[in-house]
Amino acid sequence: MTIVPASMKRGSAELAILSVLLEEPLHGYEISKRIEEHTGGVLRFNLASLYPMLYRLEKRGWVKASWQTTPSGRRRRCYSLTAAGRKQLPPLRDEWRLFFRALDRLAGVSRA
Amino acid sequence: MNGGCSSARSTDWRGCPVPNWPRLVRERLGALGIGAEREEEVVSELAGHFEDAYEGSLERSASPEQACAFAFAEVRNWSRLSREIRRATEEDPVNERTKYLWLPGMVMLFLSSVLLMYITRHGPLPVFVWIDPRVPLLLYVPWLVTLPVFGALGAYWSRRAGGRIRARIAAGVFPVLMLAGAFFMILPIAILFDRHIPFSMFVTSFGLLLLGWVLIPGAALLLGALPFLRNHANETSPSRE
Repeated sequence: MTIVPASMKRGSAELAILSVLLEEPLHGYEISKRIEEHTGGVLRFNLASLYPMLYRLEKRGWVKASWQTTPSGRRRRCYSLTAAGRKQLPPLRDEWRLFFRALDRLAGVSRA
Repeated sequence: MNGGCSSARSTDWRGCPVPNWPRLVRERLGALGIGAEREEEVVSELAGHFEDAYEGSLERSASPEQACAFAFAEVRNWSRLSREIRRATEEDPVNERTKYLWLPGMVMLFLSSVLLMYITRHGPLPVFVWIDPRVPLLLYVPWLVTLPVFGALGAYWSRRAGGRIRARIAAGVFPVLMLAGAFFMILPIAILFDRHIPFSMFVTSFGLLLLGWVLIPGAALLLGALPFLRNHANETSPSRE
């Protein structure tokens, strides 16, 4: 039996960030906006939670960052998914799928 | 240091149409201790985020003050954010030491050694200084003249990598630290095994070797390193050692 890790909260943030970066490279503010838009405002990342997480992902080599100039002429640090980060997505998704199935069996979330 | 908009420091941006985000972030975040270059990068990045958040609010018809407040509401606890960033960006201390001490030191040792080899083979003869009539003091003047450059490069490199003053000095004088280490290891062995040379001569020779190969070159290296022992004006936290 697979046990869902205790670091679910952190895991959910990782999954959210890696998922939006799978679409295209984005800078921090865009990442937070994109997550908010895609989840209808249910998931929100503020600056304080987003950047430490991005730096951790960068240190692990799951994302890489580079300074780029935006169309408005501003320099922003853009994050893109690395091959290692791409590999992390399926197991993270599986963990969450498992978690939600377990929760559903327990509390009938999907029927509620 | 909690809460950007409600803190005493937030008066800095009140009434200011375009806040100076990097300055505000730097003030609130404080010293991160992750190396000057990385720290500057973090400040620029967070300032960029605030700028985008601020302008996003303005586009949604907020007043500049409201937009500022919304932007700063993203961080409730700056000291916690500072801690989190430090933890997230901290590298293995061994790797860090390699960057600000071993790497610059070893490179300077290598370069100064190569130059010394070249000078001994192709350069002018060393200057003999007869402080003691039995043993001369050898000085490779062209090599000594170049040493401040290596000292400067080592200290500059260490500073760029986030080394503190002690690390910069060590990186600057690294070539002679290695020589000093070698001398102090060789001398006792030589005294033990070579019984033909009187002890007093050993002491004199060692003193002169120390002077010619460690103290004088060390002073030259340190001279070069001196300008890089001070922090840049915009350097908030060169970090280690």
